[in-house]
Amino acid sequence: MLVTEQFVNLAKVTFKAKGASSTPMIVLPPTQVTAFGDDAQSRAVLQTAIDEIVAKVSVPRALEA
Amino acid sequence: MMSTVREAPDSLEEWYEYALARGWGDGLPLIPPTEDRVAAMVAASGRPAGELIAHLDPVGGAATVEKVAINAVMAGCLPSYLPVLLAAIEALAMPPFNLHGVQTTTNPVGPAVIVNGPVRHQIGINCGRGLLGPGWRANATIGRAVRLCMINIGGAAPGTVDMALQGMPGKYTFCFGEDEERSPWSPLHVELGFPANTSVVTCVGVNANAGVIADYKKAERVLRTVADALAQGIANAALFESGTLLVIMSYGHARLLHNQGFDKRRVKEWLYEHAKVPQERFAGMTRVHSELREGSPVSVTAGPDDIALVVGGGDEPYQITVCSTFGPTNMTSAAVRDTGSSS
Repeated sequence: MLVTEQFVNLAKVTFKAKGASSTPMIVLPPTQVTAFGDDAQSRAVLQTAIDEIVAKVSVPRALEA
Repeated sequence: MMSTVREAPDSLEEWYEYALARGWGDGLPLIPPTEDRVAAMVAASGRPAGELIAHLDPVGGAATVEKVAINAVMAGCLPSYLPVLLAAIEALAMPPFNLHGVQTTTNPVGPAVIVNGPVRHQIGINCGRGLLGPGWRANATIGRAVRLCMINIGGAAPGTVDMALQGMPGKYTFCFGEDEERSPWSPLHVELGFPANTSVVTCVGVNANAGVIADYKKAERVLRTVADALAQGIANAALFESGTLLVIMSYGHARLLHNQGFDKRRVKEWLYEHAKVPQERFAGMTRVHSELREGSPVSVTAGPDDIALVVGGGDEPYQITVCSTFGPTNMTSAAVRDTGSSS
């Protein structure tokens, strides 16, 4: 789940109520960074989020072996 | 009592601080929900304390008769109000109301609680002058108790779960009755399919109310003003072209319209047809249905049935109250259960 940092608490509450407390969460900077920042800032936020998603879904090498 | 019993300070001032520290309230002073007070409240409902009324989003909290009664006590309700409050909670939890959205959105939306039927007179709900203002215990405390249930049972902690950017004063309390006896039209609950002699609570997810000055002679001029107001206060309603709008009209304006051939249906159809927003107002904004109607004016809701039109307030045909809406929320209703008492 992608969520901006202002909404982390709401996201936790909502997923807990749905019995999905362990849902992986990628926290993005406040909305205004992407809404009012330049393209470079938005790309940086996006790249960070993608890196975090990859890290969360990747199987650790040790376990894979 | 089935809820956890806690030791709390005896003094009102200390109790107030104790409750605030636990995030239990709306910021205003609360009546301590002692066992005796809660028991009396539950007894007045004629229902078991543990009976589940609904689960309230976003946390899915169990709104039992007792839990609702605790909040009713804290809000200052009389025990005789509880059946109305229970019906309001039942209505709030119905899927078309979209309680999760209403509780958590950044939009300034809250439930307007409209009461119809004999219970209005039995418990003293104001349907007349000043019905949205201060001075009326039933209106004030039932509306407040609804909000306390939304916070304390539904988990909508202001600022962290309730994400409203500005909020609105109607989120403290927003409850009134329809002036059925003086209306020339069918009351809201009859329109919605309930028998006239049934007491019914209807919840509408609305933004703050605006008082619109309207003509007092010509029906079309009255309606033009209301339509313009609905189109000006577009909020989310026009983004989604959905949601229930609320219009509260004085007896004077309702009679004027009625005498000039406008039944309730015709009023709602007229308002729907004329409350349009130009496409250019949405430049740069994301609209849910913009691809469907490029260039044509946008309706402020889905159809005439999405306008809740009720008669209430003072007699003069001066102001008409209009409330826009959050968008994805539709009015829901529940009948007030008979308490089983003979009174």
